[in-house]
Amino acid sequence: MSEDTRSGGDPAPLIARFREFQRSGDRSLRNDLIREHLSLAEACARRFANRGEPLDDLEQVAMVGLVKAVERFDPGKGIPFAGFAVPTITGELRRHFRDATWALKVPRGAKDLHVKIPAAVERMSVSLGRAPTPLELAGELGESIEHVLDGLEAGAAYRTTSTDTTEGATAAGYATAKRTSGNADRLEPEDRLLLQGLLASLPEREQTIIALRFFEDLSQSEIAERVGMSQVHVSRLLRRTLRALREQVSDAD
Amino acid sequence: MIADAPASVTLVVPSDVRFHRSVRLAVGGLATLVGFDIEAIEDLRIGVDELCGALGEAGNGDPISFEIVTAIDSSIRIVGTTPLGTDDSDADRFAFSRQILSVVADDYGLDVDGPIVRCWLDRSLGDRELVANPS
Repeated sequence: MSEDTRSGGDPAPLIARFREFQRSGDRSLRNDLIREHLSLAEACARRFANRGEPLDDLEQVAMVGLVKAVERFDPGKGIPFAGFAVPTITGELRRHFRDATWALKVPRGAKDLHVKIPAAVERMSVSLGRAPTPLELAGELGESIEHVLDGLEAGAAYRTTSTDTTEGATAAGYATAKRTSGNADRLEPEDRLLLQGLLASLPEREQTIIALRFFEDLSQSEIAERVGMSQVHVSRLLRRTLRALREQVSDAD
Repeated sequence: MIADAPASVTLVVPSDVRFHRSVRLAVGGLATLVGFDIEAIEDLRIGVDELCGALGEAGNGDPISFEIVTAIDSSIRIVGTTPLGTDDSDADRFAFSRQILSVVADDYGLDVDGPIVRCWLDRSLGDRELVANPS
C-alpha cells in the first residue's frame, strides 16, 4: 500500500517525491510512483466488477486512470494523493462504461423518429386527454409500433444538454422533509441519509424531477406540465439521472 | 393464440449493460401488446433498468434470465433471476432500487433465495389505459 494511504503514515516523503517528479519529469520516478499505487487502481477496478466487463479490462482502464492521476497530481494543493487518485481512476472507469453502453449503433430512422415522438406525444396528450398508446402514436406518425419503440429507445442513447431550470422543492429537501410520509418513509434512516447526500449533488432541475416522481408520486405527464417540458423529455431526464445515481450508490460503499 | 390468456416470454441475456436495451425493447413490445400507454411503458423501462442494474450488481456475472408474463388488457409481470455473486448483496443499492420500483411498479420484490437473486415487478393497466383500450 502507498505511504499516504497507510493509516497513520507520514505523507511527507511521498509528497516530496511528487514534488521532485513535478520538477524533473523523471520517467523512472513516475513509473515508481505508479507501481507503488497499483493496489489503488486494482481496488477501484474491483468496485466495478460484475457489470459485464472482464476484470482484466477494468484493471487496464484503472491503470490508465492511475497514470493520469500520477501525472496530474499537484502536491502543492494539500490533499493526499489517494484523495486525488481515486476520483480520477473511478472517473476513467465510469467513462469506459458510459462509452461501452452508449456505443450502441442507433438506426438513423430511429434517431429521426426520436426527434418527432415528443411533439406527437404532446399533441396527442392534449387531444386525447391522456398519454397515447404506442399503437396510436404509430398511427399518428405513420410508422410501425416497432419503429416507435425503437425511436423511444433511441432517446436512451441520447444525452440532452438542455440547461433549462425550474424553481421549487428539491429531491434532497424532500428526502429530509418527508420523513414521516410518502415513499421516503419506506427507507431506513441510513438509506435516507445516503439518498439525501446523492440527490444534493444533482442539478436543481433533476432534483425537482426526481422529487416529484419518487417522493410526490406525480406521473411523468404531471411533472412535464409542472416543469414545462415534454413527457418524453421528463422520461429521458429521469432515466439519465437514475443511471447517474445508480453509479454513485454503487460507489458509495 | 387465445387473446387474453396469460402468455409467458423468456429472455436470457448476458450480464452486461449493453444488453439492457434488448430487455427494454422486449418489455416495451410486450407492454404495448397488453395495452399500456407511452407513459406507463416509460415507467416500465425505468423499472427494467432497475431490475437489470440490481441483478447485474448482485449477480456473479452469469447470464440473467427474465420471464415476462403478459395478460392482454390486464397486466405485465417481469421476473429476473441470476446466480448470486460471492459478495453479500449491497443493502444501499437494493434500498435505492426499492425506492424506484415502489413508484414505477404496482408491486415488486428484490430477494435473495439461496444461491439465486431474484428481482421482479408487476404492473396492471390503470384507468387511463383501460379507457384507451376498451375491450
